[in-house]
Amino acid sequence: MKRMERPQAQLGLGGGWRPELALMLDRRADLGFIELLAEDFWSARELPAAVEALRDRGVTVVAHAVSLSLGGADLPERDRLQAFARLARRLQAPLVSEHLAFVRAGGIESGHLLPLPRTHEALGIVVRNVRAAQAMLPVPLALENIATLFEWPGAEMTEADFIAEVLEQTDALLLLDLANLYANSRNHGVDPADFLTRIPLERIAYVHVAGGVAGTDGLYHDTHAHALPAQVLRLLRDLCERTRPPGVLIERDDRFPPDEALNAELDAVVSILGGCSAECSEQAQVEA
Amino acid sequence: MTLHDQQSALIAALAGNAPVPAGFDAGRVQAAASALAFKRARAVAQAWPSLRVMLGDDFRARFGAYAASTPLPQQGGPLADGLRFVHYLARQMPLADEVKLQQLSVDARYRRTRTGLSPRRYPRIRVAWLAKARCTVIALGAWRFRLQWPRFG
Repeated sequence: MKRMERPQAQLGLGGGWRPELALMLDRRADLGFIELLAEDFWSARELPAAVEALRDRGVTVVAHAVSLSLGGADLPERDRLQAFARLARRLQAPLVSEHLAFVRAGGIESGHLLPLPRTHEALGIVVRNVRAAQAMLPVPLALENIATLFEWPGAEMTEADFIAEVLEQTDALLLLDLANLYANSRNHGVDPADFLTRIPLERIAYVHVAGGVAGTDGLYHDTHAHALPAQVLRLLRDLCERTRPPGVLIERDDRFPPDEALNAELDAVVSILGGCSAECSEQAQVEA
Repeated sequence: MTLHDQQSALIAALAGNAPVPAGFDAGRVQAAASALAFKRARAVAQAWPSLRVMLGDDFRARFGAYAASTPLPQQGGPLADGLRFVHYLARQMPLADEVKLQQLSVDARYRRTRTGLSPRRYPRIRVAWLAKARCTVIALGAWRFRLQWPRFG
């Protein structure tokens, strides 16, 4: 069994950087890190001045990709990986992240993160693709669990076991999205407590939280455009009882609320992290 | 059936161009397809405010008709998708001046490619006739310069 030796970088409180949130994030003195959407910046000649200002004051920047299609049947595209690697170097990012999903097949883009069949065949392909990506990236890669509205038939393992197996075989880190876990618990009956028991907590690089909404179709949609549900914050509290995550980042992509509303959500995250005891973290590492 | 074929069939179903593959919950896949269509239209509406203004309440219906026949561009995101939508609309109706202006600014900065859009490396001059304003606009896209709008009319 592979054993991770490096401790995860401490990132603290995070915000997904969007132009609409630039001022609000700039005013947040306790901001530890931001995520930049990699595809928006990997061919840009320069970074936004607001991002440079955050970097100047020591805020860490993580590049977050959505288009590598690491779960695709084809190998990830070399051009995209090169652009991603270049951006990571330029940002001096301590790590980069991407999703356990596929976004294209047969030359057609879906425009969305789509789930993978949880089979041994698919597992082998993801591991091959993740290794291909890692070979070209200058920093560690964290893989994120996604929210899905449907699942593939014929699953041979649970989502948590699939993720754990990919991480084990590739030595990748985990970007644990608690909003996606919550969405999958609503839409597919995934048991969050069981999920948190099965994933390797010591591999968590950071955590995502975000809002969503119950649709007229009876499903929960992880929109990143609605308020953070209390249940997602409860999951963060549950996680904190098991381990102290190195960072927690709020994603808000649309229907931007007044600053006070987002600040209240960030404050709630800070308060939960504050109650997260260091012993928990040590305990998790001993168990690992 | 290989994983490649299975993934292709699923994406075709999500784009509304093929039936839901056997074994999947058809209602759930259709819910995901609707969410995707909504997301694509909203992203283009946000990247192309001029189109939203020109089409008003017709935006969703017109975009839906375009999207059903045109897959998402591989590069350039909603900006590229919206530019293809503009070309699609131009074959059906006169374009509003605001749309032509936005198209100019995109054309000056990006090159249209088979896969979508890629940033221009060299200066480029584009010209458009604005029917309502009765003037010609010249857009100059140049390295490290903001877009200029000299008017001759």
